[in-house]
Amino acid sequence: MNDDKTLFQDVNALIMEKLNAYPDDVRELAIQAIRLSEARHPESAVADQLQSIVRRLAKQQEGDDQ
Amino acid sequence: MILHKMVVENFRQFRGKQEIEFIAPGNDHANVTVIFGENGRGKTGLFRAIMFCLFGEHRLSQDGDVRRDELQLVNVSALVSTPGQPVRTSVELEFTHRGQTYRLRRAILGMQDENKIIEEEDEKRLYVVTSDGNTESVSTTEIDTVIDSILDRRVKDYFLFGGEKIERLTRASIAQRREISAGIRNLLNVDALEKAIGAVGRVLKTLEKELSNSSHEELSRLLKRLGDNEAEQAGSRKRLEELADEIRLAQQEIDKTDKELIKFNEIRHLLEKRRSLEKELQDLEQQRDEALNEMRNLVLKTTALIVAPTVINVFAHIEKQKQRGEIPSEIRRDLIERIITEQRCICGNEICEGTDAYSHIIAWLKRTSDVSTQDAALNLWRYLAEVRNHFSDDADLVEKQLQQYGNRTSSMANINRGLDNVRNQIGSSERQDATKLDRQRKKLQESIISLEAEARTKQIQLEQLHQENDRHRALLKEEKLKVGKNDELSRRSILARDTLDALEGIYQQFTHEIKELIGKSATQLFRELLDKEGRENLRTIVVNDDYSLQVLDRYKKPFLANISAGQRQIMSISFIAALARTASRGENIEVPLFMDTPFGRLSYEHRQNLIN
Repeated sequence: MNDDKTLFQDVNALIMEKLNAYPDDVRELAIQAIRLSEARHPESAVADQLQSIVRRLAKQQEGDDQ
Repeated sequence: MILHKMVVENFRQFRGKQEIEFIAPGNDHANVTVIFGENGRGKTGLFRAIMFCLFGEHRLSQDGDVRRDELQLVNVSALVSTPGQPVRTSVELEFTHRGQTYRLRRAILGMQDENKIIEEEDEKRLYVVTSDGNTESVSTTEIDTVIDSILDRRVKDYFLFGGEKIERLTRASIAQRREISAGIRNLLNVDALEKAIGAVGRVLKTLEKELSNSSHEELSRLLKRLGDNEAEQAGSRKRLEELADEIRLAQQEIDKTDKELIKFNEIRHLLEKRRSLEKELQDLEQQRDEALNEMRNLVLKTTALIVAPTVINVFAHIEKQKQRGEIPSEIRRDLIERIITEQRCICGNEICEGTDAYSHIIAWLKRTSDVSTQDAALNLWRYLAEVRNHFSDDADLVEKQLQQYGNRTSSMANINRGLDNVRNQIGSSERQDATKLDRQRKKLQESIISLEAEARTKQIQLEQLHQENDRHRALLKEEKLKVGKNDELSRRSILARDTLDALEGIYQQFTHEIKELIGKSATQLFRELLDKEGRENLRTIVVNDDYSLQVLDRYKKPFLANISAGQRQIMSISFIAALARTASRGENIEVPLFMDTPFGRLSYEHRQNLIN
């Protein structure tokens, strides 16, 4: 359990830290989703931008598998 | 935000310009202002003035169902004394925040139009005194943002509140859960994370829609089932919200009817009796539900009681064998087997087949078991001895819980009888208008009971759907992985699902950590504020998973239903202060705490501790 200060110093930085436990592609998509969400764009606009990131990451994974 | 001074002009009871200083400038240690006065002198008026000045609010939570147009902020006698002329009503608040001084002013114009009073916004200004002593004006469009950055309006109700509010925090109702949930979510400040979860969810939905139209039959079938399940879940959740609203509205209608009924002097005493009985019934219901929850928690722990007779029998059987010296056998089995083979005793005597001695030995051998079986029996005996010891404690516990549940239920039955009696008396009143109102009230109460029953059923359905959904998801992931090797769309969908699960998991983890942190901090404050007797019995404040509050006694048992009204207030104030402490992120707390309604129910020691 973190103390008050650590827990709230920077919520998003802490979230990024927690994402380190996940596979690279999941972590990257999650980080991009949070970064895009920090700006004042509506949720639907963030989703539109994420579609192309998902496509790129899936293609990249296909390349890695081959 | 440290409040220093407030100037009100023609605001509510305050005619002309009047001023109140909250803290002596320069005296950092005097940080509590007590406003003392008889009813109607304007204590709540000052609270209203703060809420109006900071957030432009005209209504307070304790105004209940009073309509906005029924509430006037402008001083009526000022209006009457200047017929045909508008009256300016204003509030100016001076406060400091993180070393900077702010002066906020908000004004409205009040006008009398025939029998109505019309109020219009007139002025909103914010000045900031800079470090070099100059005063700068904040643009009108930025004022709300600046105020929100100092005290977020979403959490304001936790720090500026009426006494009614504080009571609601310890009542396990839907309203309570909503309030605490909203407070914690606001406190988390995870707006970006929430938006990210929503956005990834949208991506996943689009991808799964595309996948369901693909040629993979099994995948399409699973996606359809999942879609149906989610649609059903959304429907259930929506209905639950509707039910909560309907219950709240019906309750408001009952309150309104009560206000009408109380006007009939003939039945006033009966109405008061009914109200008191209903309150008692409500408390008992809460205690009964807690007893029921306790029993549910006991189920796992006391399952062994079901096999208690078998355990006792097996233990007694092995014990008997032990006492007879058969387990462990006093004579080693391998030794006896050697005697039989060699037909000679260890004393040297011959033991021939057909003799009595030989028959005895064979009989013993048949009766006794081998060493490993004996060891197993002994281990079982030791284990059962331990299990058996708990039976009595567990049985006592179950009996106590059942008794408690039974007592509550029978007390409720008594109160219900009393209530029926009072209701009949009200119903048979000679005042027809009163009986008509009372019939309406009865209908509303019946409708609340049936709405609550529907809500419980819906909640169970929702839980079942959720479990079903988990199973579908697992199957879907398996299928996607099978297809995904050669299909990019499946891979994209897997990635979106895994990311959504990761983000949701982190969100849950955060919420849990916050709940623990607030619970810990609230407990510490609670223990400091309680009197000696309370400290001995009440140990921990817990923020439950459903965001309701609970207090555990020295035996770690839930005790909320049994605490006094004063202790409830102390518990609420501890929770609010814990929120403030957590919101201040480990730095010095700079959040005002404005409590309208003195803690009249507090004992001397509680008050002293609170002031200290």
